[in-house]
Amino acid sequence: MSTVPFPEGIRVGRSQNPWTFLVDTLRLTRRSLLLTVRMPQLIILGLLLPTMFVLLFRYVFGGAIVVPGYHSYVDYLIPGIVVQTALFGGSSSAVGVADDLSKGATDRFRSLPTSRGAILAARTLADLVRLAYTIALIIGLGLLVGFRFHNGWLQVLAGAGLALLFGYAIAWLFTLLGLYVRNPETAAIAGSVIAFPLVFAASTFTSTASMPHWLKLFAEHQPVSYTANAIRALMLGTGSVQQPVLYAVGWACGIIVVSASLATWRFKKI
Amino acid sequence: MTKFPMITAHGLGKSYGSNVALAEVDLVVSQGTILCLLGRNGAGKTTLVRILATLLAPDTGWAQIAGIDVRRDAATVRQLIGLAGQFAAVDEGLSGRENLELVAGLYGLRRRDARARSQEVLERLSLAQVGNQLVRTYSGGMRRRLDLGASLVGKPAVLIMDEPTTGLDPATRLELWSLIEDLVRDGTTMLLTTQYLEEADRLADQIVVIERGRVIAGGTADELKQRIGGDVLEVRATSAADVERVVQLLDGLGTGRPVADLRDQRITLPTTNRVQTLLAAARRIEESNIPIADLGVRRPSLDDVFLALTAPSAQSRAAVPLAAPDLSSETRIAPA
Repeated sequence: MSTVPFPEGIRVGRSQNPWTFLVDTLRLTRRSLLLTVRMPQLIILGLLLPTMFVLLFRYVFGGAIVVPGYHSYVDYLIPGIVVQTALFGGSSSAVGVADDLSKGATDRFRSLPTSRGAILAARTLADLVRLAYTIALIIGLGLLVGFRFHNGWLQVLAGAGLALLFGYAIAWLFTLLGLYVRNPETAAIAGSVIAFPLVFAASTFTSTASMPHWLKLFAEHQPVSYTANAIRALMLGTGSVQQPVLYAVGWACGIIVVSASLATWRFKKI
Repeated sequence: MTKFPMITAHGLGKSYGSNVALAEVDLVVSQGTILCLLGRNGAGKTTLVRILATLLAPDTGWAQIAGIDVRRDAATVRQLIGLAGQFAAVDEGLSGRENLELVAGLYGLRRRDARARSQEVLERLSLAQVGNQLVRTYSGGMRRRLDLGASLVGKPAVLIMDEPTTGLDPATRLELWSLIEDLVRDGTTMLLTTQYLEEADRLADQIVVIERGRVIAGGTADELKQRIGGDVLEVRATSAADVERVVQLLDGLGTGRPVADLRDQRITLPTTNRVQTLLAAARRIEESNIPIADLGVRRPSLDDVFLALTAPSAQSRAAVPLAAPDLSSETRIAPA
């Protein structure tokens, strides 16, 4: 048995601690956001869909939709579109995760002395920033076509905060999906397949009152409806606030805890 | 002089269900040397790379980088390695410089150091001119170089590269080769996977051939070539019926038995004396009046290595096994 001295000039110094986790998360968030900014066509296309939905429902279907308790349909509509955007935006989270996996970026980051948690945390944080920007634009567009807040600023801000919390939960859920699907094209399709029923079998665009019983049961108890109703209650002062807000926050936190744990577990052995 | 073993693997194995991706792989790479892992697509090269780069846990065996276990202390290992994967894993929407500075930051370099180091790497890879341009505008060769650069910014002691030149044009490949040689000269230890014998021939201090997850041969390029007999005489028959007759004609002329490939009626024969063997083969073929389509001598290809190494006759000749990495005199490591 021979003893060979450890080579000189080789240093191992970087330890993992909350500070490096934070710094690396911000570095990787910046990367993700820079990549978005450098693809302006994607930003524009991403805004086009919710814009079309606002115009379509405001001017084409809106006249024929009456929701009891709301004298203006556009007030009912905009919170719905906000939630819909959060959910549809989730698809791009899944695509982004799958893209990084298939192109080797994830392998590179995982081979570096950085916390693996930071890679996923950065991913979802960047999704949150993108969503905040999109939601601000949708509400701005809503204000142009007749949407008005009917509650105090604090409540309105709480409503926006709830939309972001929901969006963050969706980002984790779809990150988890992206980790399992791994292929960007499949991720895009899988994302739509999940998002569509959740958005349309809900109180997103119209009241659930006229739905058949079995559908109503699903529609009224799924997170999209709770979140849309809670945002309406906060921004418009309609109906009870406590119950939908409580359920919406509960759903969001539940989704975050479960998805983030599963995603972190999956990420370790991918 | 005993050099420090920077990469050590012993009994490494990994299976996916009943599919064995890697089995009982042993290897040792000394500091400042380069090992080429030669194998076809799906031979298990990437699985081995992923285990060494702490991306995948082996089912059996162990691996160490600079004496540090890749599973038990992955965080430390990651500070010692640079990985250049099979695809250029650089971000198209970032500039070359931004790509490098990001990776430098993740290695833990301070902002100023990350900047200086990135500039240094850009210059070394002749990318300084285009450092501020988005990678989207780069050619394939430039992307590859930048990807290699990203694996260098942390000044890793061990560089792991998975098929770095696959898909590159010959000029860019040469460029990358000389860069790799420079790095090894500076003391970097390297494990490089390749499908090209020529690449292993030029770069490797040590070649390990793997097939279906197992090491089937190992040694220096010269040892490996001796094993297949230096050059290859190749005869193409005009009909499948003639193949067996040609095999009989050629038997005894080369350094091994002729091997027939019935699909394209090709017979190959290892030889160490190209002129003598060619003349003798031509004479015999002419005397026999068997029509042939082609006759020549060429450098051995990876296929020939595999044919020679996996052919039954070759195995019986393997009285002197090629040097498998010697782990009997186990080397203990004393980290500073």
